[in-house]
Amino acid sequence: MSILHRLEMIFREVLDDRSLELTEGSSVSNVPNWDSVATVQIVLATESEFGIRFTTDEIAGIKSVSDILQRLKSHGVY
Amino acid sequence: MLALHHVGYLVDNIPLTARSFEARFGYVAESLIITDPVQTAHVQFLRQPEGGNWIELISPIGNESKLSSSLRKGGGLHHLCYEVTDLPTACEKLRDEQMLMICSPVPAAAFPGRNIAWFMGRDRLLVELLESGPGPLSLINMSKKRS
Repeated sequence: MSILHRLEMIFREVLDDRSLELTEGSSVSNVPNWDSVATVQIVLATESEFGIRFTTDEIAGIKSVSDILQRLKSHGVY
Repeated sequence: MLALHHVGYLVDNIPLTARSFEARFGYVAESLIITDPVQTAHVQFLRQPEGGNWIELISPIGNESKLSSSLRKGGGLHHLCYEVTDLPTACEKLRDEQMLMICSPVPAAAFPGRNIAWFMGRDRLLVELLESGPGPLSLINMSKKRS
């Protein structure tokens, strides 16, 4: 399963949207209900899924799926 | 030490709600209404005379407050605040326990000389950590008065 698909599963659960289709271009501006509270849930679920821990600075800049993918890459998740 | 300091309760009208808590449950106001520009809120602390912690009534400052959307969804029970002797260690512990720091330690208007930090978990529980210290709204002071 690709990283994007694993993130999609997380987003669907957090946002309670089973039909949500995630792309690298998905962001807080085009994904319904992706607000600051959802970001907390997404970050914690992503950490759990990939067995990593983001720094406070890394978390502060997350506004898109691309941001998450970049940070995962910096933690060695390709 | 990590002890419950107060329960935050989000309301539209602090004086009206304070009167209700006084009449229903015997709470007494233990602070004036304090304006906290960092938290974009007005707050007031109430306590039952023999109670061991406080209720914090919280009201957003205007419609632009970060609390306004929560109030529009109904308000009510908002957060738990724990007083801690070692704030950095308590922050690390909550991070280890799958909670995310959503606001780094900052001075608190309601507690002069003391810092607060905010956390949220996957269960959406909102937690405030308050550095222990002197002042009227202090668990340590309350404990000293009783002993």
